[in-house]
Amino acid sequence: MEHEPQMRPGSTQRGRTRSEARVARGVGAALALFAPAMLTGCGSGGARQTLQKVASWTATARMAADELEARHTTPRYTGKTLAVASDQVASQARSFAPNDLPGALRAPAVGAVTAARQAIRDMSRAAERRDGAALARAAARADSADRALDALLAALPER
Amino acid sequence: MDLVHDVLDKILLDKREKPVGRIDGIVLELRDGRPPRVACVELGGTVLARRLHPRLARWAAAIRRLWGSGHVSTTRIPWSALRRMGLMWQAELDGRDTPAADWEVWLRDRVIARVPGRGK
Amino acid sequence: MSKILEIALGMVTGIGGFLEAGSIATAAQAGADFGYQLIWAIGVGTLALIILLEMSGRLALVSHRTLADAIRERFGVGYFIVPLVVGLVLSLLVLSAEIGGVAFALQMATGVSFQWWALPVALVGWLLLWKGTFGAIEKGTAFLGLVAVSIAVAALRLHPDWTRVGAGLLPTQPTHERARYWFLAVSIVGASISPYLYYFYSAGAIEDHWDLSYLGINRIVAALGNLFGGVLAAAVLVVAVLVFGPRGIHVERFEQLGLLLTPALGRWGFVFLVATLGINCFSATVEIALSAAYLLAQSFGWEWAEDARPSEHARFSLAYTVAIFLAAVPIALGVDALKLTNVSMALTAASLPVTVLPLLVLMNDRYYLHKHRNGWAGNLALGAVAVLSVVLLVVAIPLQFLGGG
Repeated sequence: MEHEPQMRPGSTQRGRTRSEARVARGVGAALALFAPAMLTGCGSGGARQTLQKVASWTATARMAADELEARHTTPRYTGKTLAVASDQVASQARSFAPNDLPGALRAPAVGAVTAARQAIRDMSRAAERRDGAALARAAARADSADRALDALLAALPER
Repeated sequence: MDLVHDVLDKILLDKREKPVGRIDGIVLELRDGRPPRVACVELGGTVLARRLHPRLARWAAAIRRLWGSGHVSTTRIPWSALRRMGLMWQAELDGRDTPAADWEVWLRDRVIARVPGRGK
Repeated sequence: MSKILEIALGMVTGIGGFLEAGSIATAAQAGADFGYQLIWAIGVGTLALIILLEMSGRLALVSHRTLADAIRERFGVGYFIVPLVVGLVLSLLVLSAEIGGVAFALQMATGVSFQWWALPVALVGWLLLWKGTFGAIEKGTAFLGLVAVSIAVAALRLHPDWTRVGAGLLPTQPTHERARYWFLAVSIVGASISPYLYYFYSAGAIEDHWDLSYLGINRIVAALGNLFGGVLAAAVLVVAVLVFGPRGIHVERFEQLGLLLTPALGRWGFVFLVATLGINCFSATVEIALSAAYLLAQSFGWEWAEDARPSEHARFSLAYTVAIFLAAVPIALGVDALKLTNVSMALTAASLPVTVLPLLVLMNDRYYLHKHRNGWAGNLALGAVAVLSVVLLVVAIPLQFLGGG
């Protein structure tokens, strides 16, 4: 169906502003310029952030396992989520640079990150095999890794 | 009447009251010793492109040459054939007969016709 | 009596329509990272959206010109090319994000990777547009979108500390990660006020043949529907605070959202989350594709009407076809959908002046609105939104670099 024209009393309209158009074009160009950079580039790094991300994914993995056990979610969903968690932690672990941590915390940090990575990897594999017992064991290890990470984060000096 | 504000960029309807397109350009006739008057209005991608930027106009013309078969691409309507309809204008012609409908017809016949399930 | 039905439909559309990939993802991230502190951003976004919708609706039903029509006609193509290009680019970005949302919902349901779902989702959306009518699409997606109410139920069942929730309505300084806090604030506002929403709303007023008798309905629908929608977005945030916060989970991927409602609602929580994400993102997909086609058609004076046969409006139909399939490509290629969502929301926020400032002029234009022009209150409200939009333009891009990702 078409859109009927309406009769309106004629009257003069105000002028267009060319400077308005120019400013707007500048805005549009700036947006166009920045969009690609925004899609690729992103936030800062730092050891603290890595620890937080690893802790976050470890907690995610644990929660996923718990919810599966409580039969709230499906094995398929859990498998996919644990696989993602495993990839994320692995990539964080690879780029982990403990140098900006206080000396005493460096070794424990590396240890905790490694433990988390291995635990989640094992959880992911157990989920793939639908091996509930192995999943539970790996989840317990993830739990202690998570606690260690939380302790480390708490011990870090305030920003 | 202010040409730029009352004519340019406004919708042009045909005699069936269906939109032909937007008035993209105005052609003035210069007369010796008398004020210029509007000869006709124009609709078309090349006209529009010319208003935006000369380079765009060249691209638009090039695209036209690639796709078109050499016939006229700009719809020209004499001023005398126009009448005002509020915020829009109307011309005594059938929009389907104008160059403005070229793309619509081409797409309808060449592309949409090939898609299964055209009806609603 | 039927006017009441219209109001009800409009409200339901608003409720279901408010929540989509952007608002869900940004609210979940905000709740997980900053507790209740960012609820005010949802409030600001919701209020601004209500103002913009009421006004673009009023413009359409009084002047019978959609917002896109009016901007081109009043400001000429020299200016209009900017909202056109910006609107199309952003529509495609947000459209991608929405297709991503549906794809992830399907991945959660089936285990099949989200990339495989991108093109099928686009195909189903396209079929709905090709074969369906505006009314059917509007009503269908609205009612199905009500599944989002489950999030509010979950929030209630988790017994939040309501005083702290209320305190979140006032802006406060973050105690940590300042850049990310403000980046999320900007993204939340961008998620609430997507231009496609008011382009779509004003085109919808024409599609639904609203006339002057709908002035009151326009106000009620714009206000109440989106108010409830904003409440739902706030509910996502509240649930994220109570579910992800204590566990130290930061939301970085869509997959994590599957766990959002299970503590409160058990098995049904998983089902409802998947359904909410899938349905609401799908209706956003269809709407944005349509909105992009409306924008193009109205810019160039093509005929447009969703109810008509595609062959009657070839360019319009092809526009939404190209839009929906093009937008599916990044998701099919595996682009990080959450990052895409964050970026597209921030860019949307930055692009607002391009449409809000012209609207401010139009709403005072006697030619378009006669005696229904803005009064001082309307101008104050819209002026505030205009100032907000300029602030967002200035801060959004730097914040993306400082606090995004």
